[in-house]
Amino acid sequence: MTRYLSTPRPLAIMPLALTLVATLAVFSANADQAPKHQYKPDGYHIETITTPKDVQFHITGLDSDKNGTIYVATRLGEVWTYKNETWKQFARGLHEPTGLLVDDDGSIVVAQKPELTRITDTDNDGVADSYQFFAGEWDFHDNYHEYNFGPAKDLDGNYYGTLNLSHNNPDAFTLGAMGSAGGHRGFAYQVSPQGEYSPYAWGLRSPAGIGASPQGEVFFTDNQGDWVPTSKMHLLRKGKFYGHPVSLIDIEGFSRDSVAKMSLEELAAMSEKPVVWIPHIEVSNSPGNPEWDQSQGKFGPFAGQIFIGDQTQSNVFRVLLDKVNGQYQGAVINFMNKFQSGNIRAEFDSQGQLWIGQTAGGWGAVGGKPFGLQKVVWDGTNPFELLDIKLNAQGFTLTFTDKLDKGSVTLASFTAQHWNYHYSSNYGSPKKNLESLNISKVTLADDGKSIDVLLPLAADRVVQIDFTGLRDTKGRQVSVDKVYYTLNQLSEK
Amino acid sequence: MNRQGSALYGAFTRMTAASLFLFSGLTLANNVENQPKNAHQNQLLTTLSQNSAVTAQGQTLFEQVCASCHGKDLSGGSGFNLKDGEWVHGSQPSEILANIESGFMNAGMPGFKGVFNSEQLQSIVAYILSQRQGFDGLTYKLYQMQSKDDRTISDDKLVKSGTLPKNLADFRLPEIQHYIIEFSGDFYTSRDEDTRIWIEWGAKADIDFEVDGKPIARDNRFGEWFPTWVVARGKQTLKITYRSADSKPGQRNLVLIATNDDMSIKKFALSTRAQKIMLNKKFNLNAEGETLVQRIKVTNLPAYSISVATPQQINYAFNSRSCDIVGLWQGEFLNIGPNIGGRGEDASIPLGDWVFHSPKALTFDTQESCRFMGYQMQHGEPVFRYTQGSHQVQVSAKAVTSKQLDIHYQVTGTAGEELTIRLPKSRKLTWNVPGTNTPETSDEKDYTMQRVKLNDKGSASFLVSAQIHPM
Repeated sequence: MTRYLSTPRPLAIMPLALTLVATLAVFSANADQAPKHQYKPDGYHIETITTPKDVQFHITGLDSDKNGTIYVATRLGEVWTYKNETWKQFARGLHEPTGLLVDDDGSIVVAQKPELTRITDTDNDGVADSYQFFAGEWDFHDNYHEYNFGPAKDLDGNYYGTLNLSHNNPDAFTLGAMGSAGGHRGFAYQVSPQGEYSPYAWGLRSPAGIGASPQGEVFFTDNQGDWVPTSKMHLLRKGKFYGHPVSLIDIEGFSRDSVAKMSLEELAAMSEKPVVWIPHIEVSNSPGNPEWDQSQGKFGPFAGQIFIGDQTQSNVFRVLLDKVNGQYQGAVINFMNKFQSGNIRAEFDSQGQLWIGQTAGGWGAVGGKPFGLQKVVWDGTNPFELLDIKLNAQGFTLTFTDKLDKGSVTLASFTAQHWNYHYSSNYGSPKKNLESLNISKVTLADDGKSIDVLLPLAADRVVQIDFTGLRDTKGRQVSVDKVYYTLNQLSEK
Repeated sequence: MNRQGSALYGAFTRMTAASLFLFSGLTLANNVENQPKNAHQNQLLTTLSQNSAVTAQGQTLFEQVCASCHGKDLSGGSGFNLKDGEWVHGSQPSEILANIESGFMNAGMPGFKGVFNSEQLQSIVAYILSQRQGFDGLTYKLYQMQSKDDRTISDDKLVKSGTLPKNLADFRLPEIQHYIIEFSGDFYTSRDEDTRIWIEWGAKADIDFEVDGKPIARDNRFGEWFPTWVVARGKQTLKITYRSADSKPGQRNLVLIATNDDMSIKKFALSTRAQKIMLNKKFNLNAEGETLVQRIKVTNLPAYSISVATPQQINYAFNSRSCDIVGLWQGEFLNIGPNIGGRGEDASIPLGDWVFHSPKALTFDTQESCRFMGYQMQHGEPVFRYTQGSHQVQVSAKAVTSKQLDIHYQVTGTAGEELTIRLPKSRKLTWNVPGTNTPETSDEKDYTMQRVKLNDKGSASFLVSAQIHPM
């Protein structure tokens, strides 16, 4: 329950190791646990990059340019580049940045707490000299939790960022753990290419990750906590409300008093549904930015999918989008664990390597190291893992990366269950209405890689399917045997 | 950028030095022949430590010769921390005096016997003693209780007792299920301001504090999860009684930290676990050779302040919301440790001395809001640009000496227009605006007014020079 860029409730205030123990104890009835074994698909491995000596290198912003140069922003306020195994400091003095974008013109846009800043090396000496205000019309009250995440950029050249709520700010309005003293805390914002700022959406809590898809749609993650029953990823849509009520005080027609009087039902009815719920601990405690694999196969079979790191669990998971009745929903599945520190940032470079920027940030991370940089590299071996999952009228189609052993495609190889969460001011929610599901039929398709799974379906549930017994034709077992599908709505087709 | 004092490095240096020089410390402490003289000297130095004229002299000397290694605030650097409860070479006043006189050449500390006279050396010791903080002579008693509800202490339940030479309460000592542990010793706090003991995440801790034998009350003004206890100023005896009661094992290793009255500054650790956290809270940032810009939360400066350090050790802060110069301090720049350690809740601490700070500010006398445009590094100095009403302003500052900061404004607006600048008053400062008339001043205001006229092209370029003088 301890998380980066988010705040634990009083229950979870012990140091990390103890917190995990306490958390597991609380929810042991539901057996929500992170997989204990090391999981990684065949053909993938982690490489560790040496960071500059004697520098506290908490990476909180990460991007790359088309030449493969890596840019990082650190919590100390520095920007460094990494190319040919050489680090160079590019900029410094920034206020705890939590995002960085290499812009099309080669300038760097950094999300630091008080503003978005465009940083340029105008005299071409390799070091930035120009720090221009780009946007920052929100209010920053010097509260440690008031992070500014971003920016992501859409295909029209607009920039997007998310503004964290405050914690333990006596002037803030709270209905649980996190608060807003006004000034668009808990908002997502848009900045036009000319630098015009506009508040864009609200109801966010600790939205530590934002990213744009290749189609220019912007998605963000939010961390489990008060009013966020488990971590989640949303599609960012203009004028929408995302569930945490305190930011409503900045919306016309609402006040601290009126927001405090709203019922759970009213708030729930206003709230956007997430594209995916991310089961707490089992997959993620504190997700970072969604990052799309646009390497077209250089990173293996998962091209086009979303990869997200987790700051607490030191793992990376995938998001498998589905579009049902014109709306996004989809699934999450663990990808790799046993990273060295907290995986807050993910970035694919031009070579199809997945870079992971890391910090434990004071919240602690399973990986143990305080900060670092690692990358995931694929050696060309085709792995055996779940590739994708799609909803149909009677169940799901699961597609795998390699041909399945027909003999293993039996009912005995599968189990399924579903549940939902309780939306409230409580810090997170245990699984509610947890039921196991009876799978009636599994059918291997002619391609040898896809299986139709028939089971009863209900809307507004997370469906977990385990496929432990499956083997591929080489006898391999998957490294991750659980997928979690957020079934907001049933398929009309 | 030069960053000193990473926690790990500091801890390493400290341990190595401790093991190297423990022997000489023991030799001094065990010199039996000197004991009667020592008792007299201890008494004398303790008395002197309560004499403000003597400690003021000691402070001056300390800052001249000792501060470069031991830190201006005595919290240590390449030399040891001199205000905590850990004395590697002996904690008696006479031992401290003897160590200053003879030095530790192997560790790079010269002896000062021939450098200062006896009265001067005594004043340094008196000053060091006056800055003591935390426990001294700390002891503990551990009682095994019959159940979580058993709150009655009796001698037959005493299972362990002893002294704690590091003068930190160690809550890991008990290895039993139900217990009460008492910590007791002399306790030193600031004489100039109130000190609070804060238990981090301490809402459920079953704990009592007694100062000089009298219980003090839990104060939840910062919230249930931020319980604090206000202790006495200066020297006192402090007793802590902690009951395991129905707490879980993982909740019993308490973080006890002394803070200032509004909890904005963490001052020192009372428990071993707090000490680990506090060691993480030191990370000094200084300009060496070139000007340094750092945006970070700083004590006494408002949000949006951009702090600037010059190699001449004059530091100032420009605020990107008000576009004012909101602070000026002389000496070392910032300890950003409080802000980068842990989750970064706390403000960085200016290491030098304030000349002025917010709400005092160097500002134009106008109601118009400003729009910050950014800054550009030019010749190694940041040039801040903003618009205010119909005016475009550029401001930069250059330290001419360690006592003079020239602030350069370039303003464009309407031809012939008069602008008024507010110059904040400070006894440490004289403002000088070359080429202008005598400033208007009045006793009621905390600033003086200086008029500046734009030329017939609607621009003005002028210096506002801050001359800092010793108090």
